[in-house]
Amino acid sequence: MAARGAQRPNGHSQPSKICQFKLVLLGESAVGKSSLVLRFVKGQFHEYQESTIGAAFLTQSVCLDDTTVKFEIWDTAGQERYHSLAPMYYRGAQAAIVVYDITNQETFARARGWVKELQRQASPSIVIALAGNKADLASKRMVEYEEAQAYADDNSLLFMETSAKTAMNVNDLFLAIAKKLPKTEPQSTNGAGGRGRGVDLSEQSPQGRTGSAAATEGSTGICWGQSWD
Amino acid sequence: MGLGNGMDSSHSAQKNSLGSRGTLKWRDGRNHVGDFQEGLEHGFGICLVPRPSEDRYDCYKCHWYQGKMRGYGICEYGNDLVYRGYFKDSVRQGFGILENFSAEHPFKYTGQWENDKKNGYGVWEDKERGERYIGMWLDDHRHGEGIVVMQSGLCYQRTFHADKMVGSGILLLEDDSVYEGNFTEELTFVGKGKLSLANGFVLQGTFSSRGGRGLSTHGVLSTTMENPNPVLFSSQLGLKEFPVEKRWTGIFEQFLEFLHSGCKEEMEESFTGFHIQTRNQEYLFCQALTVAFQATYSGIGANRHLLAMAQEEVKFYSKKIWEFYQGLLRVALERKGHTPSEDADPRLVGPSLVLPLILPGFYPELSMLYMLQHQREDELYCQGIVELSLFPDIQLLEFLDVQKHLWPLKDLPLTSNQRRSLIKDKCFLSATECLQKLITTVDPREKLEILRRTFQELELTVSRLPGAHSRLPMDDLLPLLMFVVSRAKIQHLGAEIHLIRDLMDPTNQGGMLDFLLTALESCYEHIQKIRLHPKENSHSS
Repeated sequence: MAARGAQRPNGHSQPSKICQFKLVLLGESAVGKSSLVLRFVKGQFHEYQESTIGAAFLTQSVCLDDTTVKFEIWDTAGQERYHSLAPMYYRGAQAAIVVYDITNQETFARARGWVKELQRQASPSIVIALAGNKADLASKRMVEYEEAQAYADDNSLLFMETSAKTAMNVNDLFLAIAKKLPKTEPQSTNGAGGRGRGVDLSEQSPQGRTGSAAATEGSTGICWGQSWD
Repeated sequence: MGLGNGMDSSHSAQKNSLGSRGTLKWRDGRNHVGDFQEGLEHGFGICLVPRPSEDRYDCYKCHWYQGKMRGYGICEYGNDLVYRGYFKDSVRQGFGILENFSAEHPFKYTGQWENDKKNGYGVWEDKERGERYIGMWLDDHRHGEGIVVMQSGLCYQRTFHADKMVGSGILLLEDDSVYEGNFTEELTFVGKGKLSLANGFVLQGTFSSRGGRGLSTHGVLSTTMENPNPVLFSSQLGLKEFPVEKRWTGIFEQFLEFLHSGCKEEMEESFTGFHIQTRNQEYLFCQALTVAFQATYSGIGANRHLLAMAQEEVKFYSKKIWEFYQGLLRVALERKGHTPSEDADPRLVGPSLVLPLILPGFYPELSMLYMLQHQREDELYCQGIVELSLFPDIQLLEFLDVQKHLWPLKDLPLTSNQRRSLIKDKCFLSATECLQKLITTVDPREKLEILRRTFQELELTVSRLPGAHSRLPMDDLLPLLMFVVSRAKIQHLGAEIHLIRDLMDPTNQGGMLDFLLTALESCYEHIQKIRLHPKENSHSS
């Protein structure tokens, strides 16, 4: 996994490390989980990119000062009947975005349920972000901003209201997550969050995999270059 | 069973520049035909040694070095025993297999030899008793940690001292109950012990046998049933007791020696004997490893409590073989006058390249262990599959919450009756057939590729539908995949999934292939829980 990087053709190159993180999306159907992610990765991927599965598995990179953070984004099925399968998807995840629809109080209740479950069952170091989506539909708002913000504060969650439609806060949300993730060097320990099951022959960090490659952009922002694969 | 050099002998030989080939006869009846150097056996030779009391011979077909046996050899003893393995200084030393083919007490020992005796890690199969001992040996006795597996599926782990069991051990019974404490070779519990039943009951107390049949105990039975101990159920033996790098050292030593000697071709056979049929260097010592693996895990050894050991071994082999391959490369480069370059970090990539190459040699035993380990879940899954197979396609699509606009039926201008009969069991056929190929391969990479193609087929089918979104979110994809998995009806899917996950390249973790495998696993889990009650049945029609 080390050093699978590509240099942007006309970018200035400076040494940088790449950290990969598994990010899982949770939330009821129709709250716009996948629209949110598609908006985030839009413009970056090519129609026939090998390493995506529909809108269910996507990758996108974000550049911080000296680090490229690559998200491997795992979507989950939001239907109630498939709820019990979620732990298989979030095991080993370093970040999670729990999405609700600000025009639907029920989806917020459901989101709080997800947060609770993550805090109980997911890797203890997981970074959780709460996203109130469909912020463009303010007239139909049923979940108050302050209420959600207070809840997020109480539970030490990142929180933003987003709009997949207008792109409001979408990139910012991922950037905020990227900043909060520990960008440590690979450790030789296994096991956190269920990653080290069985016997690994390679040493791998449970806290994201780090490698080095040429940086694409010095400043903080989304890399709109080639994908890293 | 060593051979000394006799005194009175007659020697006939043809000399050439390297040495000579000839026959050496001793007065006691010994007869050596083979290569000589400076009057000593040197090179390949066949030696017949008469047995003292019988009219029979021990026949050594072996490599010799300055008058002594050294390297790979086969000895067919006059008493129906056969040894295939390594010698040094004319005694059995290193890895070797001793087998008794006679009708009385047939047995087979596969393992380490020191100074002509079983010493170190080895596997003993008593074919009469239907029992296999996997563990440590000292001077031909079971000594140290050992595992005994039996034909019935029962197995235990104990400490042995000069063939006798000492201290307490752990006994894993066929019905998944576990006894920890002291027990006799006849498996009678004696003294303090703890019996954990499969249903969660725990009986703790002092056990003793009552003369004839039966067991008496003073103890406490706790029936809190808090947890039918999952740790004990899945308990894997031997991991701590037999560190993987200490098993089968004799096999690896031979190869190391071969490397250190500079890999001279004329030496190859004496070092690698077992593998002489295969000239491909990557496979050089696989054959001995396969032999050792089968001796441990096939037949009686197909016991789910040994899965972790077996899995660990295969992974370790691929790591070791990669190291040797690197060593061979270095020798080859040095011979050509190149200085070997130090690659960035080949340790990461190498073993995962080797694993698919060697896996076929270990796959039958390994996949059997996976099947045994996941038998229960696989049975539940099979029940789920049977229930789902009762649905015609449309009902199944509906039952699994597949969005209507994703049903691949739209463009057929048929009445609903026609449609049902026509397309029954035909929806997403290409994806289903693709997934069914999963069991036709051994290599975890190929299995994952099949999984990827299955998703492609699914997307391709869906993309032909009018009005369907080209990029499916998981809300849509999972029900579709559920449909395909239900129709593919792959046997032992749980064993497959776990084998892939354990053996796949660890760098896949978190990535696309991991995601696909997780999606498959989640379908598998879900199908296990599907039980259709009459109510649900009517709801979904």
